Amino acid sequence: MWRSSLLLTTLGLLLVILGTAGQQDLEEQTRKIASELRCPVCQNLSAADSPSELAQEMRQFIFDQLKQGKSPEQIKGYFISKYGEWVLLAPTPKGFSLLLWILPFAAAGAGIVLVLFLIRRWAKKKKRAAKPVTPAFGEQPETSIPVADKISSEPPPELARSSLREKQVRLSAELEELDFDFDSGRFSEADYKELRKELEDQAVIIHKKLDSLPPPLRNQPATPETGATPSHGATMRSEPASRRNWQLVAGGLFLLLFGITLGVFLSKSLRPRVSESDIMTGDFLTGTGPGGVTGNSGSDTESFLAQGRAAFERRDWPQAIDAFKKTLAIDPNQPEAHSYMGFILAQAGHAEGALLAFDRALMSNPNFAPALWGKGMILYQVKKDFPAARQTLERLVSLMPPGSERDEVQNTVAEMAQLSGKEKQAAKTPPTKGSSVIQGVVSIDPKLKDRVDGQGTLFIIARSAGSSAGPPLAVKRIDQPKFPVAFSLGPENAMIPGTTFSGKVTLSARLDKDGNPTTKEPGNLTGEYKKNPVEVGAEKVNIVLDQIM
Amino acid sequence: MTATIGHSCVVIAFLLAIWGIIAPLLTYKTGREAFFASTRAGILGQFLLVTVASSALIYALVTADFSIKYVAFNTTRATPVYYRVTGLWGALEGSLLLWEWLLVIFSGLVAWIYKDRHRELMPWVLLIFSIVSAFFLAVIAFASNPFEVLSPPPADGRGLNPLLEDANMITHPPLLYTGFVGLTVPYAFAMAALIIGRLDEAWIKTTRRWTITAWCFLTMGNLVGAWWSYHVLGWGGYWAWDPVENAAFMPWLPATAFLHSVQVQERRSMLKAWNLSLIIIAFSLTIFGTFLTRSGILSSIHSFSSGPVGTLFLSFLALVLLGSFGLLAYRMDHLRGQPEFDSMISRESAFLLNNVVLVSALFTIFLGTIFPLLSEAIAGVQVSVGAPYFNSVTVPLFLSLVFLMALGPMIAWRRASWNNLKRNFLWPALASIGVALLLFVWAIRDFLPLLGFMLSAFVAFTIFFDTARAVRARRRIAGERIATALGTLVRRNQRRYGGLVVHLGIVLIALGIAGSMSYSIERQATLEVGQSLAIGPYKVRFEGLRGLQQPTHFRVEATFRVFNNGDESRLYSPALKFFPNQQAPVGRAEFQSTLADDLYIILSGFSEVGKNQATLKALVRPLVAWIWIGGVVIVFGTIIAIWPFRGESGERKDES
Amino acid sequence: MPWRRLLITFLLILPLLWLLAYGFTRDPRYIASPLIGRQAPDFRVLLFDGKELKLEEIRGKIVFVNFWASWCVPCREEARDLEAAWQRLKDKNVVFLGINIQDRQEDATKFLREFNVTYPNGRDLSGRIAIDYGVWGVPETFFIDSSGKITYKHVGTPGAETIMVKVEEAREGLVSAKEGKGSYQSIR
Repeated sequence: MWRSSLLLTTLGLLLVILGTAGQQDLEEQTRKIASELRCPVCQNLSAADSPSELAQEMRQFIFDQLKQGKSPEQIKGYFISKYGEWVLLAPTPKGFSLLLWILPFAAAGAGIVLVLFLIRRWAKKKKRAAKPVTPAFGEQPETSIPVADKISSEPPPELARSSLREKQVRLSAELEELDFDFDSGRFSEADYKELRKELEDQAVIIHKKLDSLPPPLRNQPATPETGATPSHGATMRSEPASRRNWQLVAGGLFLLLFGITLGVFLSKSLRPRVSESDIMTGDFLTGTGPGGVTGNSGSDTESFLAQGRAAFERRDWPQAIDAFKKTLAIDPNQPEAHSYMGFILAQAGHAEGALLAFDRALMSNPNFAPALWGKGMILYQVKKDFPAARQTLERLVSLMPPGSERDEVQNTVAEMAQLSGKEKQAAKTPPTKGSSVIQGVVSIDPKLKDRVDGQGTLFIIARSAGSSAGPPLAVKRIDQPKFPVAFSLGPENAMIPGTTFSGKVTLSARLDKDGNPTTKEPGNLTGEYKKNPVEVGAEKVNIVLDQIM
Repeated sequence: MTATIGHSCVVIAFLLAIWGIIAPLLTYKTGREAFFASTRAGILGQFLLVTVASSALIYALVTADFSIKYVAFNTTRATPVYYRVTGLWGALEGSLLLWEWLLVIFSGLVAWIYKDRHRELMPWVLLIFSIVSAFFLAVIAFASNPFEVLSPPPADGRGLNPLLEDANMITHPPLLYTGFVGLTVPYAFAMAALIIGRLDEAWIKTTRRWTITAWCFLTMGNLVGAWWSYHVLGWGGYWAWDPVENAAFMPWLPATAFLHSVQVQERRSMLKAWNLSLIIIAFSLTIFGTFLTRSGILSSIHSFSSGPVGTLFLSFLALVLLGSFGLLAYRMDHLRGQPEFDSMISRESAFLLNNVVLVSALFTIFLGTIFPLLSEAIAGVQVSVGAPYFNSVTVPLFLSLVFLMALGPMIAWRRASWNNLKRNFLWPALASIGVALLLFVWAIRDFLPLLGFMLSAFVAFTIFFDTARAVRARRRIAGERIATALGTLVRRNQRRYGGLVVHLGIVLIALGIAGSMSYSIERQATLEVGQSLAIGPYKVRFEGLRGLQQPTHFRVEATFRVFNNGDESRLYSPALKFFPNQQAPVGRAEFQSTLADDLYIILSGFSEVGKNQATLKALVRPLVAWIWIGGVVIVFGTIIAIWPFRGESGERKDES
Repeated sequence: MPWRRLLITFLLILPLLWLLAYGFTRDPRYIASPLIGRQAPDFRVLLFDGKELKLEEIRGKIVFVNFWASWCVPCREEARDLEAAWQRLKDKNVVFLGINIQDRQEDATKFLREFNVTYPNGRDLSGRIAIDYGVWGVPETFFIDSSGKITYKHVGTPGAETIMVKVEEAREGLVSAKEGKGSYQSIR
């Protein structure tokens, strides 16, 4: 009785072990197949090594198929039918790809055959050349002078001498090495003697040949030319040192001046690269990101656009306008150029014209983010047409991927809702004294007083200490501030409603001329709280605007 | 201000480089010493200016001067100082500046060291250096300017690519670039020799140490790159046969071939054209590598962004290839040597075969790397060429290389007698066959790894056997103690023993690669807290998750306790790093190395709710540590080979 | 005879340079699909409204299959166009079908609500459908004719006009071998 139960348990155990072994085996097989497939979304990894989601799905798929009894070939065939031959990391050896498999071996094989053939030929040739040598070598010196004798049949004696000398040096080095090898037991006595004798014989021959050459002339350059290039360089004249120094100094000064001029000029004006990777922040709004550009415009418009963008960044309005006008002359519907024109006009205070430009941009592409942004902001800030502004900005929000930029736009929309509801209530609410508020005053550095004209918007920004990336914790906005401005920053200013506003934060302030929090123009005044970070709940936090962007 | 200083320096250096091209020609035309002196001064001036420019960029990076675009893109206020410095080679523009910096350091050294020697060669050597330098300076000054200003400056920068925030990135690019740039020295001397038509062995002897040093840096650069990949990329491998990895590896092959075949030229005055071709190919491949990385024509993990730089590099590559090989073809008549071979069985033949194998490997890797292009251009079929292809094709080549590594150093020059072969190879061969049998009985049954281990053992045995015999002979002759005897041997023939040590290093690397390629175990599982996964001799138990806010990113760490054969070892905490600017998290694998194997744990996912589940991938990779140990041994061997034990004697004497 | 040697050298090197230059003309990440002109792989997908849809069941109609994800910017860009096209085509023997991949349920439903998408949408939970169709970027769109053959594939945003034209072509069973390309984002 217990015997059969023991048998059963053993069997059961065995089955369990086999089962897990089977599982492991499948895993191993999955890995093997996956390692031969390329992960379609990675740069250059196999589906086995890639951590991407698609590769994980592929591995799962392979595992399932193996479990269903499919063969590795069937599974690979399946992937080829979906992604093409491309998906295999080692192309199947047929058609053109056959070359990939044949050529390396063919090359290696041909190389080895060639080398063996050459060595044989060289060895034979040497033997032939060496035969007449032993009895009377002196009569025919050409046969074993290397290199030079190939060029002209009668080498100049100097050339022959130097090449013989070289050979002598080589032989003595070889002799030295041979001795060393023998000393360390690498040769038998007989081998050593044989090789040594051969080397010594050669040395004697060379010595004889050297003796047979005419004696060297005195003032010859040490290393003669091979005749291919005329030897001007061999004789160098020198000049009086003082004159040379003057020339050097003058040349140096000229270079310095020229270089500095060019350097200043270039570093100010050169902006050759306008590529995808140039996106800093705000790629979606500035229209340089993958989502913004509408593409298929000709290369001419592209280059004018690039010029325009660069000029716009430099705030060189005339040039920017010129470039965008040129763009529009080629492609009258280019939304990006229209949008930029809009921004320039808005900057200059022509709200009507700007609105028109944005509408034109939206006509050719109703989803063009920068135009939506510009239109929304003008409707909001200049026209105070809140419903229309909201509609525009909400459309923009719908187009944006979740992230900090979208949050900022959403914030503006929310702000607008607040504003249209209870006009400027927020500014008057007395600061609730408690642990969750920071209070203080923003003032302006006396040196920068004349840069403030009562216009613009003041942003007071709190970030959690230690993190410089991502959206700020809280932002307070004060329109047309009269400095010094008292402020209080509390949970109601939090960017994402519901987040806790506590702990250590770093505070900074920015006076923004166009009131657009996402763009940072030069000329904006900024300042950081000098004793950052600060605990939430602190009072008398005095921020001085002391920097110009 | 910093930008202006830096950019001005680059522009002036560019003008000096142009002068460095003109002046040697004038020296040649007029024969006036002053022009040559000004070339040298110009090279030294370039060195000073580029040093100032690089320092300016480093200064801007360290002080987070965001008015410079490059700084704004590659640092943030939160970046620690050492990563700010490494920002110099964190992106395209800065890495080109680093390259140029190293180049002018090398050319400055050459101009200074050889100021009284090689009167005939030097103007042309400096001319070649100036051409290369002028190209890089032109790219830096006009096409990919690291000193481009950004106005208005942003409040904070974008930060380095998170993958580059790793300690190895501090060393990998400079090492690799030093290797690349170091190859310019033999190339410049070779070209100079071709130009003046003085094609004896002078240039080879002069550049011997430079070439070995460059080779060592190249080796190190590749190994540290592999280490970085293993350490940071978090997929458990150290070599992916990625186009850019191949591009970094390819120059190593002709450089290695060159180091061997010049020994034949030094002794037999043969293979001149072949050696010149090898060094031209090696140098061209360094430019090709940069071209691949910068042009983005092949998809790769490592590629920098594309831009106009790619076309510029292609043009320069065209110039180098057409110019160098054109010159070589033009001078072909002067390059034929006298046949000086005695026998098929000799060290000369072994070296030639080694060259064939190395060049075949180069050809294979090059073909595989550009095959996707070739296939699409000619057959119109999209294909991929990756690890499975390269592994299956190159493994036989590398194995035969290991075999030749045992043969080459021991076989006699000129001709080897039967007795010589027996003396040197009989016992090592028997011993390695014994090792193979033992391994077979123990566990290893697969053919290729078994062959790999056997050949590695063969190399090691020949080296040990030979050295032991030499020490014994030394003791017999001079009565020295073992250590002294060894010292004497190394001093008397440091090139030989340095080379042997390097060979040992390569054998260790081969061991590591054979072991980790053939006997890795990999398992993946999703675990709840308290559950564990068994892999090889290890058991990995999941202990919990935690999140941490770091200066530049948010980090989710999983803790695993690892038991080795039942004994508790230590805690592992692989992590996923979430960078605010990146869509997907960056994995941070953790592993522990022992001489026998590495346990490598990757966190590939976790459940966000409840924090009680983690998906991990665990790998046991045997012998990986030996790859890195081999690298250290190679450095040691290189130092033995080039250390000036005998003062400057070697070179000076040869040149006299 | 150096000139002949020079010529030979150049002739050996130039093709290599040409090949590298050729590299600039292509996008190394682009994967050409072998599926065009073939039978569309059948699938079963769970729709957001809880129903299940099988491709076989709508055989005989022109099917427009769009793979998308809520985190993909170009998908947001095209969403309105697709819905507009659907409004114009829905009574003309055409079925639009959106397949959401590599996404979270709540993000996907939010997306659909945001753009008022009314045509059927489903989720590909295992990624199987995406692999079946060789998807590597989003959005990716397939046009399937009444016999169940894939007539056209578009990677990236197609634009309203392309949709109308390609639907008509599918009606006639016309296969375009060349894939269309708009702005796309690589999937994960």
